[in-house]
Amino acid sequence: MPLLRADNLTKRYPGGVLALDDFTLALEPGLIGLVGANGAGKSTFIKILLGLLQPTAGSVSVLGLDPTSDPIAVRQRIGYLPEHDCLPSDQSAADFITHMARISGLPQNSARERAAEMLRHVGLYEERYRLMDGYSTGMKQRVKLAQSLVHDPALLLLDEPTNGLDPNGRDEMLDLIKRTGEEFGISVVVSSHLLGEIERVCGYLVSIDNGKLVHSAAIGSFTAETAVLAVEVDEGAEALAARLTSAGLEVRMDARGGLHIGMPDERPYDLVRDMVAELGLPLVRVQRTRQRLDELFRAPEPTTAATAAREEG
Amino acid sequence: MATAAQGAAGTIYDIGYQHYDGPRLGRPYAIRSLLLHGIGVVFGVGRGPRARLVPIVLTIIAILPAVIQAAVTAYAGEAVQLVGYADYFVQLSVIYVLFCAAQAPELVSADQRSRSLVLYLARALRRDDYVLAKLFALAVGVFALALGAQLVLFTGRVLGSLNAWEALRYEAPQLAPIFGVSALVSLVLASLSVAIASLTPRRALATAGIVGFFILSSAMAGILREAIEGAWDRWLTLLNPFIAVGGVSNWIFEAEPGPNSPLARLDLPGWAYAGACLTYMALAMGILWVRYRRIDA
Repeated sequence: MPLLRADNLTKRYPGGVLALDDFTLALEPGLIGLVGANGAGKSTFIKILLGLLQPTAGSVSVLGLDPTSDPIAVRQRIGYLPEHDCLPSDQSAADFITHMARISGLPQNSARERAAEMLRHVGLYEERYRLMDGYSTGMKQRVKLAQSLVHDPALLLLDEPTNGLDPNGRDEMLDLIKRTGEEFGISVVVSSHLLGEIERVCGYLVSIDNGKLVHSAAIGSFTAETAVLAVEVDEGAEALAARLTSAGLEVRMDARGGLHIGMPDERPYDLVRDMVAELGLPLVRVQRTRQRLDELFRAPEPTTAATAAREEG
Repeated sequence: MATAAQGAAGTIYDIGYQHYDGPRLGRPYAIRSLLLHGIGVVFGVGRGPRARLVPIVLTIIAILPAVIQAAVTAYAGEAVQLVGYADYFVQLSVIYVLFCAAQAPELVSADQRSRSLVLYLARALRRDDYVLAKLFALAVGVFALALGAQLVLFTGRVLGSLNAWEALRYEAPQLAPIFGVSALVSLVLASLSVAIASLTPRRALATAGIVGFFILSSAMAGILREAIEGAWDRWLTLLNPFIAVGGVSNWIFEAEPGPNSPLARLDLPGWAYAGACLTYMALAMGILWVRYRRIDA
């Protein structure tokens, strides 16, 4: 049974905005990254999975259940972390998570125990009786994660969980998500507009742009084809690029004159060495790196209308 | 716990994750939990002394006249009648309005302000469940205030008389109306207040809105009372929810409105007041229905 599937899922908001456009997808359990620019349709997709939004057309199933017809059954098995602030400031984290556990159907005693356990899991055990208005953004994000986990869901939907965190907090949150997914056997869908984060945490990647599915594949399959040889020379970069291209390699020059050469095999090493020697160029750097995933996903020639829409969103 | 104590704030401890395989009680339990939590919010339970101050002070003020009446009855007998069962709500309407105006925003505006509403809606609840649980939480609060005062009156009349047993038998038939009218007044006030409060995430604005609504409606009814000449325009005074509630109260208790009561000159049939009360509740439910359909979760 797939974790979730969407068939020709379409969502058009009353205002006419097309948030999801004929979205078809099937995902197996695991750690899944959902990547797209702001306004690409990530949050809309997550809310449809939760049964909070009704799709305009198409069908969707989560854990074998249909959130449009049986949202309660689906929500009992899902944990959700919204992208915006959602914590009352005048309660302690312990009280709030206990309350949320009860709303999820846990009896009072279990609710209190689970709340304490989850707050320990996210590293807030010591502070759990403090009112949340004194919490930092990082602590609030942890409380949000704890409330999504408190009823032991089979699937976590995390909408931009690193929003507003500093680099350190970002790292800790990503580690926490990775552990939650890998060690606890809970499937996780993490949305982010930063590919680097998804690459670190997830084993599977779904990218979405303007409500359309762009890619859906295991991360490994991307990293294999994204190996790149970065070459920097002080002068003559154009000449070198031309020679390498004529030798059948894929070469791209960045704004500072650095060359990025596709690495289907080991051949570019020798070719670069020979050609730099032939042309007598001052070589600064030869380094095997990885192409950024977002460059991979960038549509070849986005239409101006699509670009404008994305910038507005 | 030694390692926990040594760790810096925010460190993540690896003690392993336990799956939960206990009971999951589902939607009815979720609704009940939200209702109980809401009743706690209404009386400021577990939320610091500042949150408790307003409900406690208002509860005392709401019941105090009944205590005084009970004491007076005990000393002077039936002769001195300050407040009675039927006109209690109308006499103390300001207190009930203030109670609702203070606590309805805590119940519904606060969840919109903190945007925690979506956390409820992403759980085993429907939107209607959420709304009804919040509404009934406030209704239970008002009901407790109303019923408490009425029962104090009742107790005063029974214990203040020479033969308590006789008095109990004489007063007992009032118990059903006491419960009925308390339930009615609490449902009318709570539904209107929660509906108004649900329209804004800002608590202060919601409080002002609720007070404003009740002041405006009673001012309007007051003006119309002065202008009562014809046969039909006295019906317009039903625009004041307290006229409607007071009318039903008199109807149920089979009491005559006092000479100073705005109800005295209206002389509308009891079902008219009851109809007005039902209309108010329907209106409030309609507002809530539309509001929570449209609200962005």
